[in-house]
Amino acid sequence: MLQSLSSTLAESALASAIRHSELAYPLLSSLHIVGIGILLGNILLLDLRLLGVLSQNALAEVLSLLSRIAGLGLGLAIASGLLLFSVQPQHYLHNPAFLLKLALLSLALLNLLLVQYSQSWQQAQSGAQVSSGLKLAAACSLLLWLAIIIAGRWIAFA
Amino acid sequence: MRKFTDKTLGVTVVAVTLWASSALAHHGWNWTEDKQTEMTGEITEIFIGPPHPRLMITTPDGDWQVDLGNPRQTRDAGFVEGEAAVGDTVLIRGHRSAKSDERIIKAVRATINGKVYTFYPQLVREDE
Repeated sequence: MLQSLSSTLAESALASAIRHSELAYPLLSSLHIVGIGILLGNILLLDLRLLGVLSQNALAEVLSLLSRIAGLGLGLAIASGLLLFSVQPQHYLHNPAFLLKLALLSLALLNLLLVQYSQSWQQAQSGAQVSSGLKLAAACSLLLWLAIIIAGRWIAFA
Repeated sequence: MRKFTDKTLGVTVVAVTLWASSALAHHGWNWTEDKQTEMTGEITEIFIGPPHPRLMITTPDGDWQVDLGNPRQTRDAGFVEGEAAVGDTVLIRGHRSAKSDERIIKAVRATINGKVYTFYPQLVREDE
């Protein structure tokens, strides 16, 4: 099922166009980095503020803004990442670093969903004390996103 | 507390940068042997496209991954889709990974069906 899905993707007109274009891949790769930059820059401020490492009050007021812009970066990274993946899906599905990245990404997305629908996140945005559960989630988020970047960079060397 | 954080962040950034740049060396020639090697094998897979064109081959010595030039170098060498097929015999001249357990060779030149594709013309050595 995964096999046929990945070969359908590889044989799609879009994947073929990216494979044959001199510009598409480097541009998509750049977009992927821009997405990661936006995501990580915002998530870093967000998580460090929740953890209390950064204590500026101004940051507390923009928690939801940081979260939304991080979401934008995440969307960009995922969309460009899917297109980069489509160039040779079969190859990446056999790459241990890529598989590790996918596993870590699932954990990070799960963590993100748990936080988004938690009460303590709603309360933290309106200035309440950050619960210990939310702090734990922020620490996990920070570590997971950094690990995802490392695993992602490792794909070329695995 | 703030001072400590700035310093920690700085050290982390420097450490990650150094570590990342050592890893990037894999894309040059630092990870390969100095000497050029020739090997003959049968092509089992051909990938022409970004980020890196490659062949998979089976030799008497086992299965090897052959890294070709980057997409532009590979095209300039004349190696485009349709030039070779799975099952063709290929003679590779290139640099093997310096790690003896890593079966990757970075091709300087490939010869398939009597046709020569030179990915790095300035690097071909004939005297070894």
